[in-house]
Amino acid sequence: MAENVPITLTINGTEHSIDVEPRLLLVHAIRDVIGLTGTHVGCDTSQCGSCTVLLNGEAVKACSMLAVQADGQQIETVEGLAAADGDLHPIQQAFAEKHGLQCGFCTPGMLMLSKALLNENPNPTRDEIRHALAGNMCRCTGYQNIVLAIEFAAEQLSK
Amino acid sequence: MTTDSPPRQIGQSPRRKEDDRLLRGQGAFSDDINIPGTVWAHFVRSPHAHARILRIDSSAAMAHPGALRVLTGEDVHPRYNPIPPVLAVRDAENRDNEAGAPAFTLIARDKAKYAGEIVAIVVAETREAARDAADLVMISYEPLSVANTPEQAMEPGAPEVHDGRSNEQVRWLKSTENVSSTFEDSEVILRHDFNNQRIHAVPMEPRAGIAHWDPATQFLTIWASIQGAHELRTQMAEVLGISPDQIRSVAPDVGGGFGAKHGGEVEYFLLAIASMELGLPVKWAASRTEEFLSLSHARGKTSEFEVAADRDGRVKALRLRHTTDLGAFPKGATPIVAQTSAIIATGVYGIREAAFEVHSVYTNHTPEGAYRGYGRPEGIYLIERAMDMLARDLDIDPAEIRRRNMIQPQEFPYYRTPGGDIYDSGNYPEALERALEVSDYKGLRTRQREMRADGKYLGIGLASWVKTGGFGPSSLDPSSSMPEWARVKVSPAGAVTVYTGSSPHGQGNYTTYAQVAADTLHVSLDDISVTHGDTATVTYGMGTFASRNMVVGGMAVLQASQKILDKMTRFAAHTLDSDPDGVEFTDGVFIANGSSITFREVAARINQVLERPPGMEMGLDESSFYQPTHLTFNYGTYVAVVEVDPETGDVDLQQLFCVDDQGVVVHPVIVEGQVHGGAAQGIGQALYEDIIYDENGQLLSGSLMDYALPTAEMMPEFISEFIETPSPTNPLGVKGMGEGPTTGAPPAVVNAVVDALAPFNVRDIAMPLTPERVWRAIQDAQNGDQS
Repeated sequence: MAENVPITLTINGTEHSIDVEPRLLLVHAIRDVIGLTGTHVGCDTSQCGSCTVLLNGEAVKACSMLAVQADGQQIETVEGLAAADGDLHPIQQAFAEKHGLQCGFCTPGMLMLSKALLNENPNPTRDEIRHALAGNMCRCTGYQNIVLAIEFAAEQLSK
Repeated sequence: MTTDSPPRQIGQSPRRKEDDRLLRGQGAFSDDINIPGTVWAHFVRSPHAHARILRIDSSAAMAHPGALRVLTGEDVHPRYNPIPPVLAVRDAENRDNEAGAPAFTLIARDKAKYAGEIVAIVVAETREAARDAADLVMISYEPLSVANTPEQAMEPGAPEVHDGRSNEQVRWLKSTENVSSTFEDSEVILRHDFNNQRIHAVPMEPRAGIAHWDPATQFLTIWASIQGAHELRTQMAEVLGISPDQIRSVAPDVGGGFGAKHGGEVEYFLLAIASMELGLPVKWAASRTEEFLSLSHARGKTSEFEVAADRDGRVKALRLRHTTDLGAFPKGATPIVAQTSAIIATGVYGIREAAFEVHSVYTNHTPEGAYRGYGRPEGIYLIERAMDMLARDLDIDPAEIRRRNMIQPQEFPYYRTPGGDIYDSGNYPEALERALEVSDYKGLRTRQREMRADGKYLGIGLASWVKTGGFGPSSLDPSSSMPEWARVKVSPAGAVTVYTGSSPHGQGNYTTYAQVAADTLHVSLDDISVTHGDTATVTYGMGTFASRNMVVGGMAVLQASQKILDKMTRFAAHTLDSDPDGVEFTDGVFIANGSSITFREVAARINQVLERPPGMEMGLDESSFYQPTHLTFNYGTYVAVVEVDPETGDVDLQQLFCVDDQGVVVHPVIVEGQVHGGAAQGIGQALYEDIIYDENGQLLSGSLMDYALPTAEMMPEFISEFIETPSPTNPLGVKGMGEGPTTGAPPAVVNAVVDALAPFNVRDIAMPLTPERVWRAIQDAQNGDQS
């Protein structure tokens, strides 16, 4: 077994210095070592997207990265979406407004993916939204209201 | 006492009360929960579908740093019990007329019966150490011949999945009196074999659990991703040989279940056993591959189907032989599901003669369990495909052939089918006409003709379906009646708490039960909280499954709320110097004799010693069991529109129109969300999903790389409409509806694809309609092989 490696992950603006095994996945570092359990593990082959976080602003699947690869990087998770005063982010509001979640398990991944999408493409078409969602699976909603939520969020953010 | 206010919440779509935490990532799913001192379990699973276990050597595993214990069947079997069988299965007839079912053992002992069955449990200090140590458990197996299909398993000399028992758990026959003569007298006979392929529920949250046995208090607490905490407690008590009063069972946030998480899983019982052995909390979270291997599969029925009709397409009789692949163990009532699956095959039609034959057979596969629809989709699939095939053979429009066969509204309420279902209410022609209107069926047919002229293939598929809701009626079978329980409490400040035995995991009942209570008590939704999923705080419960949350759970909430209102009314009557009958309750105010007292005032003052009428106790805290007397039957007509590319076999599902009658709709947006989700699963079955075994009983579709779970680009837009015919079976008028869409979507989609390929003489394609299968069907039909 390899020696633990000291790394620093900045998550939602807070620095965490931790010692991890080289084989530890980023998602497990976030969940089990740092204790932010909003990011979820839904599969073992990187299809489902429940683990989606933003790494330096870009959507990545935290199950497909080693924690050591994220050393020194900026990570945003779902816990960082709401404002400092606790108000929900417009994307979170949009999902609530449009019933974009049922069991809530895929939702953090969907929210982070949405944020990355709308940063890059503030006014996506429904086809573009569905295409962007190709890496995020949901079994409850059939996706329709997720698409409507993202569309609504885009409208709200452009105001 | 009269209640004059119009409905305030039922029928509205308020934002869900449960969303805030989930949106913030503050959900507490089972793997999110941590207790100090927790150790980790990893399950060692048989790589063979059928094999004798010769020797297990755990010495190397125990030498691994952090390893604490290895448990095998030798440790577990002598001291703990298998999962208790459901009564109805225990008494079901099997081939040798031998009642009973094989034990659903927690862990293999002498032999493994499916690839994935647990053979050893390794417990270690960390998740990684448990997994690493598990790799070091040395097991020698002697592989045995595999019973790989129900047909193989029923052959003479087939390998016995359970030693000394026939593989056929259930052989069931039911027939009306004149089936043969009706077939003989009919001008048109249609015969076809259909397959409802094995699929998987794939809830997004893999199972996880923590079991904590405290030796000091001799008390077990278990958190588990499950659809009913109380049922788990009952089963756990029997397995462990302790009292249910020594157990607290919690279903925290659960990330989808769809039926697969209904009933205790062997893993949860083994976690409890490990915890009892070690005196420490023991935790496990499944990998997705483990889920595919060991969370129950579903559907898995091959069927021989025959209908007898006249030249006008009126179906007079049907014959059906259903064979189900149960897998290696009987999970819950699954062995008898094929019976209810068969009897609904008369669908929404007035077919009076029917013969059903059902075989439920063990194989060396993962056990089957419940999945959204629970057998009814498989039966509806047969008749809806047959209707389209008949329509084409007789050159009758598929909508028209359905019209000619449908049960008429004046034959309700309580229409009894030949199979023995009693449909509560229905207007099938109305749903059909509305679906044709919403989809512009005539326009679609015109477009289809125009596109064919251009060498493009549009397909339109109908499905008129019916599905049960509100399970657990007393009239069905007393041993399977299932009530639901609710308790409503009002604090002196007027805050309402609803406790429910239902166990929602996405269905929104934290909001919809609040709506029911709000309408009775005239309280704002903000003043109502709903508690569920914990045996410590919810006294009784059954759980969430079988489309019963609103029908059964909601009715319990209504009854308990009504009891609260009755007591408050008697208090108000006393205060206002009136008879209770003379008190009006309007907009939250009790009025009588020109005076009034508000809900909040009653809540506060009912706890004052001198204010109450003689004989009335303090407080507002009432509970109620609701026992349904009949199943409800929700129904609808779906229309699927596809375009098929004959060069590639690719199916573009463009639209799915869903007209549903779910009875009274409490929260339209939530109910519509259920239509979307259920329809998506139905489309998955029709076009994408397949559980595939090789000839050695090895699961090939064991990950999301192999199993095609639909993504957003694979789904159409759903157009959803509701007709609300109140169910006569309950005062709310609701029917429950989660499973209707998985029933209606598959035949609508398959009918559409086959319709698109009519010019190629394609008659049928087996699900899932992958591009390869569609392409091959075209080739075969062109070469003269009728499918």
